[in-house]
Amino acid sequence: MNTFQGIIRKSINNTTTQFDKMGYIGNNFANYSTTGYKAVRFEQMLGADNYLTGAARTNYKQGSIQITSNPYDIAINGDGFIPVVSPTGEVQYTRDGSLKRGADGYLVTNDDWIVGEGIQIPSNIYKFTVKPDGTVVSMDSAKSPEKVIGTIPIVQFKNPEGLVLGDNNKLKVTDASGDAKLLKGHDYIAQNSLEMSNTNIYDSVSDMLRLNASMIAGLRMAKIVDDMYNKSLNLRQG
Amino acid sequence: MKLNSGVRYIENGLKTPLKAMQAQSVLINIANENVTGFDKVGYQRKEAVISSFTEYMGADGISSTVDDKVGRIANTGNPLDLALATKGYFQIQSANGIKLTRDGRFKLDKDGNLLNLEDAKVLADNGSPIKLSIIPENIKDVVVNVKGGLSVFNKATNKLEYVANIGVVDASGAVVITPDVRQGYNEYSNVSLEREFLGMLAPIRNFDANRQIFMIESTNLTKAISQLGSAN
Repeated sequence: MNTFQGIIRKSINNTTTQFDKMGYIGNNFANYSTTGYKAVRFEQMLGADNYLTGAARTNYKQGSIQITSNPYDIAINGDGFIPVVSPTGEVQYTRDGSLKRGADGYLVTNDDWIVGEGIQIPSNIYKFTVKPDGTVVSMDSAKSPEKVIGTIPIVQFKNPEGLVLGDNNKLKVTDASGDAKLLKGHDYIAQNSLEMSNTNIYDSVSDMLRLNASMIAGLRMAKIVDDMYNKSLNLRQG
Repeated sequence: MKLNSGVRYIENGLKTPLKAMQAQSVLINIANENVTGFDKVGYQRKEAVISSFTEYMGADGISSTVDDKVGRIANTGNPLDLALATKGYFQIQSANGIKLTRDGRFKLDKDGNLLNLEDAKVLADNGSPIKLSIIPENIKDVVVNVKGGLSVFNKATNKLEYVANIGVVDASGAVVITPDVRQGYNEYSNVSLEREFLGMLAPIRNFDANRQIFMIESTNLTKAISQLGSAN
């Protein structure tokens, strides 16, 4: 479409889409210190008719592991998710391993979703340990033998990009992601640590500079074309 | 309208500047597409081609070609982002036949098909869609070499298994024998904003000039009609 109206509309479409993208970058920035957060990129596609469409794409790169010395902090150093069950029974998946001891001693996420099939930590123990394969053991005293009290499961998906965002830092399964598959014999779990977000500040800033240039250019373009539009409507005044 | 002196006011005085203004708006439209494409992966800038006799044909006299210079290549770290460092296009099996694109942002679905962001299949150099034999646990296990050969790491045998060669063709559809495929990179557009905006100055001024001519001619015509048409 070659009309001035069409050009202005395309410029505005470009600027608003870029603004959406800016929102995603802002979101990544805001979640820089959210445990287990995975950066989301907003990818635009220029259609054949020169209008933009977009898709959000999650970057599942491993975040860095930070030692916190809190036994309730679990980090996943590898691919996979921890299945968690909501108080109403819904299953979602998360990489946020900042757990706590919930009601009745169950191991829960910080918003009270039960981890796995429910791991009850006895109240009068000396300490509990999470093994790299997810087995949770407890010791009654410093010298007593370890007692297995449960396992923190890790599941994997054939296509993690197909997962959609669920409640607070959790993901939901979809047809595109495939079914959850329990991972066995792994050594991905690290106790006393947390996985930081994988937001890359430098990339985000560089993206933002480019976005800014593109948005300013889009608006400037709209202004130029608006001037021409105005002039072509006022052909009679000399 | 034809005056006694033989000047065709409607043909020369009024229509020509209007046609010129329309033609300039097409140039601005092409510049706008480039500005929109500035931040888009794989966009190639359009260059206006002004044919002879555009002064008679107006907007129809302008067409555009694609500037096929390689754009800015930026690291993304995603193993399924591919950039072409040579001229050429990836082939995508879309609903409306095979499409050519330089947008190399791909993904895998749960069955191991290599798809672009719009869920269309990516074609190999033999023309068939690329499907991975093993679905990797981590997309880092997918390796693409500079020639476009795609392999996937098999954990069971600790070996890279060759899957297919990603088809890279030129604009006429002939296979590029030595493509330079870069894994983990995206190619942004080859548009430079300052060039677009500087290039727009001429069409804008031309538009203004033609508008001025139109208004002068219009005033002249009004004068001619009112003076010649008056009885005394």
